[in-house]
Amino acid sequence: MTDLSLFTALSLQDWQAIRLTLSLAFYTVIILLVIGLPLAWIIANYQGALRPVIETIIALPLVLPPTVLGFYLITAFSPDTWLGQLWIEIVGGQFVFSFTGILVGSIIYSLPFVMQPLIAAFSSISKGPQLSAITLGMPFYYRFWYVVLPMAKPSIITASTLGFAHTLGEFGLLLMIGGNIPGSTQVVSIALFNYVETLEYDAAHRLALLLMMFSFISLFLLYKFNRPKYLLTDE
Amino acid sequence: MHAQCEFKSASPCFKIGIFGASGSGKTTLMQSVAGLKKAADYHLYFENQHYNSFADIKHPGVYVGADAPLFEHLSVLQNLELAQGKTYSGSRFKRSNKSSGLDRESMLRQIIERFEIAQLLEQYPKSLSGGEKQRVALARALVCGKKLLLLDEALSALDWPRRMHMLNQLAHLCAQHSISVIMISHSLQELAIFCSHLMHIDKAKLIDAGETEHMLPKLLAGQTDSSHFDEPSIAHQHWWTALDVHSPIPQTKEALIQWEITGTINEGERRLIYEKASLSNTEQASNRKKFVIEASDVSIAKSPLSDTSFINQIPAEVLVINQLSDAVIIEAGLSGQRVFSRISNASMQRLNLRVKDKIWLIFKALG
Repeated sequence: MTDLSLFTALSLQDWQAIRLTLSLAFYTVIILLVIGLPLAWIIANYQGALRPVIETIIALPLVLPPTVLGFYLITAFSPDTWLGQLWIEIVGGQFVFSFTGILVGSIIYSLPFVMQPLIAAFSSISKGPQLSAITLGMPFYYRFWYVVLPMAKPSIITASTLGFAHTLGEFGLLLMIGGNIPGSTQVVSIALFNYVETLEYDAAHRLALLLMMFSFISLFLLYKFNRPKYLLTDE
Repeated sequence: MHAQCEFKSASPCFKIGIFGASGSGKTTLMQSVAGLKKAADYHLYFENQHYNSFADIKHPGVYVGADAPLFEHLSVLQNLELAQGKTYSGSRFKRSNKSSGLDRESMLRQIIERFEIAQLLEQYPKSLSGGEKQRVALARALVCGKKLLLLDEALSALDWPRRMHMLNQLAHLCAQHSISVIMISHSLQELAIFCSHLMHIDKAKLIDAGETEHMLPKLLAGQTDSSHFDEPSIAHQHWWTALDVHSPIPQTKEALIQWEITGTINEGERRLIYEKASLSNTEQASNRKKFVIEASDVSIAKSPLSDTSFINQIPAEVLVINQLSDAVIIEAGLSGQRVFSRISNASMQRLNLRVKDKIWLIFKALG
């Protein structure tokens, strides 16, 4: 099977799943960066007693079975809770079986993959270069823009790529929250599962190869190009 | 950790040296004074202003540590420009004591030239040596526009001649731009040639403080550990180690000369001295210089020598004669300053020196 035949053989429903997966991953990363950058900065500069607790909560999605997360989320957002009512009032629909629902789920699921590189980067910056910038008299916005963000850039790219690739690979959590509704919650991994269930192995192969390629390429690009030239010595 | 310290600046442009052994709390003290140590209680009075807040960008002092953390994503020039408030995109941030853009430009150029970092400007910090990083870090601190430098072993990675050169350049720049300095070093020699006042701290406590010329003999007398004198050559270190075992007369450990060229030296000899000191830059030669000279690098003659390779000779007068077990330390007066010379007992007998004798001091090495 050549690449060309891979793409021509994809059904309309497959394309829908691909579009859905990519937009889910895209929105997840964008929202995680918007929340994660300031939050990571605060955590990196916080040395109080609650720091291990915060770090644990951030790392939890790494080790928890996605079904546990999914179960708690659908319980918390069920329409007979105040949270569920609030959700319906703001979003205008139920939490389960919706794109916004699986978006919230995948934001929580990918949280550690985005937050951990950011916290690590900001922690190392806040000790040396940040103190240099303070003693040189640079105002906060100035040192954040010219020192902290540029120095954290490789880590921000790493965080985004890992968050993106990890969202592509979500399955259990999305299945629990979103179910399997084509065009609304059926992402590629779920569509793939669907094909296997119905013994359509050719179609399953196509989607599996597609996910494999996506993940490989994004990680390859990350490791190949995310090395700033200023870190290379002359050796 | 609770460090309390109080500095009150006496003159508008002062140079205070803080001396203490490793672990005496020098760095803690300096970082506290710089307002970079959380939970440290400090009170800094500078130019009639009181400072005691943590991580305050309005703090008058700029801290330069030995590790010299440069901004690694920026080239050397960009590091300097960012500190100066002029970014590579061209914007500036406001400063209370900002000078005009032209002044800043010329100051930047002057510092680049004096610190000899012109050839490093396009490089990134990762490719610099430890000494180069320290020079750039010091330059960056100078261009940021603050009037108080807090140097914490800031030149420790430089070899001794280069360090002397940097200190001389720094003294010149500080005088020109009215910058005050508080300097920490474990090297008494470094402090002695740069600072007007010395503070001696030990175990986070102030032991003594005063003018350098008064403090120095006391500090030298208190030295039993030869490791404080690590800059001179290995041979001398060896000699000091031996001396410590016998009866240490600490004043002999080094002779400090403050070179102020006076009429006592004729034109030809003065030129030669500066060449010997490897000060090729003619501009530097016109400045006031300070050198450290080992007592054993100073010989004595009763009349000027003509057929010798030693070309650095200066007339002086014998002030004090200290008899050691294996040598004699002559304290000679030179233009109102004191120079130590270490000569052998045999030489002493041959020369038959007495106090107030007119002699010629011969310098084997300078700088």
